[in-house]
Amino acid sequence: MRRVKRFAVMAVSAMLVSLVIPAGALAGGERHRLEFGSRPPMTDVKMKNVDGDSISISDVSGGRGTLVIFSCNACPWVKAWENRIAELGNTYSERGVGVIVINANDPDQVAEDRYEVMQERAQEKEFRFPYVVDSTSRVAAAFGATRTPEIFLFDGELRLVYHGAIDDNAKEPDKVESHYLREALEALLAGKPIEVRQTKALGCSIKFRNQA
Amino acid sequence: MLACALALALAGCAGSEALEGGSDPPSGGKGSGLAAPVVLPATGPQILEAVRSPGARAVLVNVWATWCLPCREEFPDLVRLRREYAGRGLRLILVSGDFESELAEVQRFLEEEGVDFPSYIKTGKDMEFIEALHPEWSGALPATFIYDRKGTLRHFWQEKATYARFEKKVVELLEESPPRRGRGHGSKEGS
Repeated sequence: MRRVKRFAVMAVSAMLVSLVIPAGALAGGERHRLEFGSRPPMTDVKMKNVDGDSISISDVSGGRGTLVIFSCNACPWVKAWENRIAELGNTYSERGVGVIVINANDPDQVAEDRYEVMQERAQEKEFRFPYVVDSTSRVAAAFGATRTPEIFLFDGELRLVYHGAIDDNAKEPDKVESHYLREALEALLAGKPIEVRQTKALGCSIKFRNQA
Repeated sequence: MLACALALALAGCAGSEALEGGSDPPSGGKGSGLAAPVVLPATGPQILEAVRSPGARAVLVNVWATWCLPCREEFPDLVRLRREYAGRGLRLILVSGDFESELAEVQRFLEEEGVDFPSYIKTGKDMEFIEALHPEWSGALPATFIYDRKGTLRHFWQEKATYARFEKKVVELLEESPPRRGRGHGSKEGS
């Protein structure tokens, strides 16, 4: 049934593409996008964690995979998914996946996204993985991240294997039909191909600092 | 059925104004105390049906949310744009990306901003909605899509914009000549 629905979505999308012109011809449509199979950029940039230490993506990379989540404190979609972010992060970091959550938002634009609130949130939600500040927003820009939350999952050789959303229902966890990220993580750990590599969800735009 | 309702709703507002070269919509203004604005649930394909409903020279679709600060910041410019250009053929389609359970908050915001014409709230799965509007849209808000009179997407961005940017892109399309009868099929419009 899910395959049928997915096919239907693809068919509708294909029909609708005839109504659009190529993205390249559209101003401001898309930032740089990380392609599947690419390595994560800026892996050695040190970012301040909620515990005060400075760590990089390289520091947390796991032998079985690395999960990078662009997130923040203020976005309602992040808040809706936050318990799932904590559960997935804690579960899979214990199973050998490196996990790092990155806040690239400019707190001058959204005060709730400041460092002190990150510390409170990480404690409240019992994050057992780093929640760090991308203090220039350049890491997010290099990933081509545009929204929060946005997921980038890399395999054990640091190749991008999944990009997109956590699941298909932010608001109602009990009504999730497709657990995109969990299924991708399970496939990765089982050494199987990831069936759905690219997903999307509405989210808050990242509040980039001006120099990013 | 819903698609028809959407098209009719639009034909009854921006569309008819465009056809008739209508004047400004009746302005409730901020905090006017008029009835709550009409907000219809719509999927991505239903929004595109509304885009293709005849009568507009340019159609601007803006996907926003009440809690989205940049959306709120650019919103008055969109309402102003409609006020200035609906009479010349602009159709403004506002689509809230809020959770449907937040409908009352959406209506409150629309009323505060003086929106006295029907608008929409996304329904259904995010991914289907996003892919329907544009395959390159990541889902970030705000997002703006501008279509020409034939319903072809001409401009798309997923960031806040200024009034000048909205106006420039819309006016370009409003000033384009309609395709000549019998020769227009498949012809490429200038950009």
